[in-house]
This record gives sequence, C-alpha cells and structure tokens, in this order.
Amino acid sequence: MKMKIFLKRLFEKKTTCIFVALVLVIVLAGLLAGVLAPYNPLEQVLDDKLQMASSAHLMGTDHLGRDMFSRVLYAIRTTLGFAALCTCLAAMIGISLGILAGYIGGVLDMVIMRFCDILYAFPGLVLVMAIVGFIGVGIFNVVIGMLLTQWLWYARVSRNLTVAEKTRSYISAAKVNGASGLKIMTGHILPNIIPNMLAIFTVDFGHTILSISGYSFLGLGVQPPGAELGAMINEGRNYINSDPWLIFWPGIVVLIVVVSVNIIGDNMRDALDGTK
Amino acid sequence: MAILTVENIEKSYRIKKDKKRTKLMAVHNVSFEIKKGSCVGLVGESGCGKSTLGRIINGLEKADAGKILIDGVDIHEKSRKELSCRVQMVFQDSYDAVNPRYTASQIVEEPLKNLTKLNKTEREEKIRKHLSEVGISESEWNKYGMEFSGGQLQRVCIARALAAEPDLIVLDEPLSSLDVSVQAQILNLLHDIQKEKELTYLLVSHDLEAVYYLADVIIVMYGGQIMEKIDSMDYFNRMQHPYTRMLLASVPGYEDAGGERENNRTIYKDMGTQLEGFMGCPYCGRCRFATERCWNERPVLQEVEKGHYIACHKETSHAD
Repeated sequence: MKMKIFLKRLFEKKTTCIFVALVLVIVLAGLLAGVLAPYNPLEQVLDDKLQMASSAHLMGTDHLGRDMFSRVLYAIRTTLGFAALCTCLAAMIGISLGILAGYIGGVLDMVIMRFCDILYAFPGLVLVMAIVGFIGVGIFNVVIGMLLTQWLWYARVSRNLTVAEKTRSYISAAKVNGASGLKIMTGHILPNIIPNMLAIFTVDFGHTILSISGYSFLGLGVQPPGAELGAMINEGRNYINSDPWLIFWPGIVVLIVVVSVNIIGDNMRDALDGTK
Repeated sequence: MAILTVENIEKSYRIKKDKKRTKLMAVHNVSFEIKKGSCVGLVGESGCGKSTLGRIINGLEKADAGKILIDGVDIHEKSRKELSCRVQMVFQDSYDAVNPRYTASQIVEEPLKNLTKLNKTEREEKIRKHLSEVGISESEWNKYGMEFSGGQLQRVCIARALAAEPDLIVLDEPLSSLDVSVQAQILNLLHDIQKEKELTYLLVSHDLEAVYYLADVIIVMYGGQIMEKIDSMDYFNRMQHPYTRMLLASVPGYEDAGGERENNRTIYKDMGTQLEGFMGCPYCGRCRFATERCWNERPVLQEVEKGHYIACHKETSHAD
C-alpha cells in the first residue's frame, strides 16, 4: 500500500493522534533530559532522601536523595534509546535476510527459515539469560541477546510478504526493464512491504521496552547507579509501602509508552487492512 | 528476414496428480518464426501454454529444451540488458504490472534508467515523448498507478515498453483486463504505433477478434502444441482444425462459421492429455472427430496448402 494513503488512514483516527502526541512528548523529554533535568541524576544528597513531591523536587527524591524527576528523564533516554537501538538493528537484520530469503528462494530460503525455526524454539528469556551468563551482565549484552531472538520475527514476516509480492507482474516487468536483483529488492519490494513492517516494528518496540526494563529489573541490564526505568522500579521495590512514588513514576512512564505504542501499532494494522 | 526464431521449445512443470508425481507439458515442441515488422497472434484458451511461451521469449522463464534466437543469436548468449533492449513486454493486468508507489513518469523512467546511459534531462525528454505518444496528457504524469483507469494505465505500460526502443514487443493478453470500449482504443493505439515505428508484435490472446484485427500470422495453440498456423490472413476463413472451428464458433457473429460450438453445458473432463507420457493429440478429449489414431499418435504440423499448417489426423489425411 502506498505510504501516503497509509498515513492518511492512520491519522484519521483520533486515538492515533493522541497517542502519537503522548509518545512524542515522552521521547522529547528523554532527548532533552540534559536541558530539562534540574539536578544531576546521580548526585546523592542523603539529607534529602525519600522526600515527597515538592516544588524543589517535582517527583520527590529516592532513598539516596537523588531527584526522581531528573532520574526519570534520564531513564527514559536510556530505556527508549536501547529499545530503539535493539528494534532498529533487529528490523534491519531481519528484513534484509527475509527479503533475501523470499526473493532468492531455494536453498538460501530453506537455510534461513530453518535457522529461524531453531531460534524460535528457544524461549527468549532463556537465551538472554544464557548469553548474559556467558559474557557477563550489562545492557549491551542484553541487547545482543534480545537481537538474537527478535530479528527472526521480521525475517519471517518480510519473507512471506516478499514471496507474495514476487508473484506480481510488476516484478517481472522490472526484470524485463533491466532492473538487477538488488534493485528489485531495494527499489520495488522493500518500499512496498515497509508499511506492514512498520506496524510490526511499532508493536515490537513496545515489547522491547518492557523486556529491557524487565531485564534491568532483574539486575541483568543497566547497573546501579545508572538511571533506567526497570532498574529504578527494582530499587524502589523495598519502599513500596512507605514511599510508593519510587516505583510509581518509572512505572507510569513505562505503562504510558507501551500502551500508546501498542495502540498505534494496532491502528497501523487496521489502516493496512484494506477491507475496512 | 526472421527477427525471432523459436526452435523446438519444451517446458514442463512438475505437478502432483492422483498422489503421483508427474509432469505437465506446458509447451511441447513449439517452433515458429516471426518476420520483422509483422504481428503474430498466438491464440488459445487459458492454460494452453501461450503465456508461458511469451515469458520464455522474454527470458523470464527458462525453457527445458529448444532455442530462442533473436536475429540468429541465442537469447542465452545475450545479457539481460541486451535482451531487454530488443524484446519488451506488455502485461495482462496493468494494475499488477506497475509498482504501486511509482508515478507514471517514474514507471516510464525505469527502463531508461536501467537500459540507457541518458542523463536526467535527456530522460525527461524521452518520458515526455513516449507518454505523449500513447496519449497521456502532461497533467497526469505525476499520478500514481492506482489513480489511473485501466485503459490509461495500460497506455502507460505501453509507453514503458516503448521506452527501451525494442524491436519486438510481446503483448501478453494486453486487452483482457479492459472494458470492451477501451479495448478498441488500445488496439488502435497498438496498430498505429506498430506502423509508425515498424515494430514486431507477438500478440498473446484468447480473443480471436482482436487477433484478427492486428495480426498477420495466426498461431492456434492447444495443450502446449501448435494446432494450426496460417501465414496470411487470407486463410482466416479456411481455418480447418476442429479446435480452431470451435474457437471461431464461440465468437459472436461467427456462429455459423464452424457450427461446432461446444454446448456450454458440457462438462469438460480433464483427460490428462497434457501430462507426460500421453502420446496422442492433446485435443482428442474434446474433439468430436477423435478416432483411435488420435488417442495413440501425436499429429504433426503439416502444410495443407502454401502457408497453412495443421496438426490434425482428420485434416492432414485428406491431403495425403
């Protein structure tokens, strides 16, 4: 489907506009953390620990007296940044391999798809745990582990879309007009499957945010004192009865982003569905 | 002078029938020549191998055996680009044959980009020339494929085929997805362009009327084989093969020509006449003249009068 029509149908829905705006605000807040944050997120002021929200500390302070607002801003940057890195890399690897498998077919197709099946058989969590156990904890190792399990979704979907697209006669026409295989894959097939891939990308982005926060919550990802939404929730866990805002603020940000991104993804799928 | 020579082309597809693996002979031992500047009409019903033959000539599919020669040179010795500069194609469904994300001028620009070394301004000039040739006005050059009507888009596709300045254009059912009123316009356009540029056409179609209008030579195919061939339209009314007569009888206004129209309530049984190992005439399952010999012996294309060839035991035994 053409991008222009796709976007027009997507933004016809009010929910899309609202949630895109929400995500944009949060992403901007993360990007501008350096400008917006009133305090250094790592600076400990033990005299001011566990303060309620006030004009000095918009979201209060945590158990080490660090400003929660500044920490949340920096955590958005970390979590969304690594989630974006992970999904983008997974999408790039997956879509390239998928188009290659679908377009060339034959043995290559079989090898790539069977490799996907093998990886698919492992639960993602187990694979990430194994990799982190092998090469050590740290957010980059978690990203590597997640990449390994995520690219195959893109590969499978893009492969099937490519096979469907390949039978259409404009691909034959492109061959007759002297387009090389690479040109057909990048110039004809890729642009035509991008809207579909975008819908998957969006939903997957939400999952990745949850996973990155989840692994950091478990202590595998971002290490203290670094600010990351999942890690912050983990640190605030002990104060859940006395000072619940320690987990409330990072929690609510994760919730808003993931729900918005999922709804945008759903709307994208609806916009792609020609029958409606 | 023959621009295209098709020599003993064979193409089969592996299929499964009754849980047994077998081969479907899509094109079986087909040979013919196309003279420069002529139009050859390849007629037959769907599944008779005519489109496959068109795709083989264009290098989109590989034949199992046989040769395609262009000016005496095997197409496999030519590179894709060399072949594309000589042979172009117009596809059946124009909406399917253009990238939905391309505008009319981008569609026509593609062969120019890939096959020529023209720079941007020279390309634009060519696009202007070819699109106006097929009657697409300047205001429509930036419209996307889906925004055109079927006939207009087929014009754009014809412009794309012309852009590479080929000698031979394979027209693969160029009319079948169009309205009847638009069909005539496209047919006239094809006719005018051919005369103007001295092009050679291979018109693949199931529509005898369209073929009658445009073609100089008619080849009738059934079940992957040539059943009848006439080298001049003078023989049109003398086409004899039972299958051709049936085809003719199905054209409104020609009902009396053959009088052998199939009852449209007849359920046509697949007799497996196109499968590997069948040695008879592929048409014998439907032919009302079929004899024992037709089931056991494949008829060969024979000249019954100068420039008129038939592959049928009934017709050729008269000549013997």
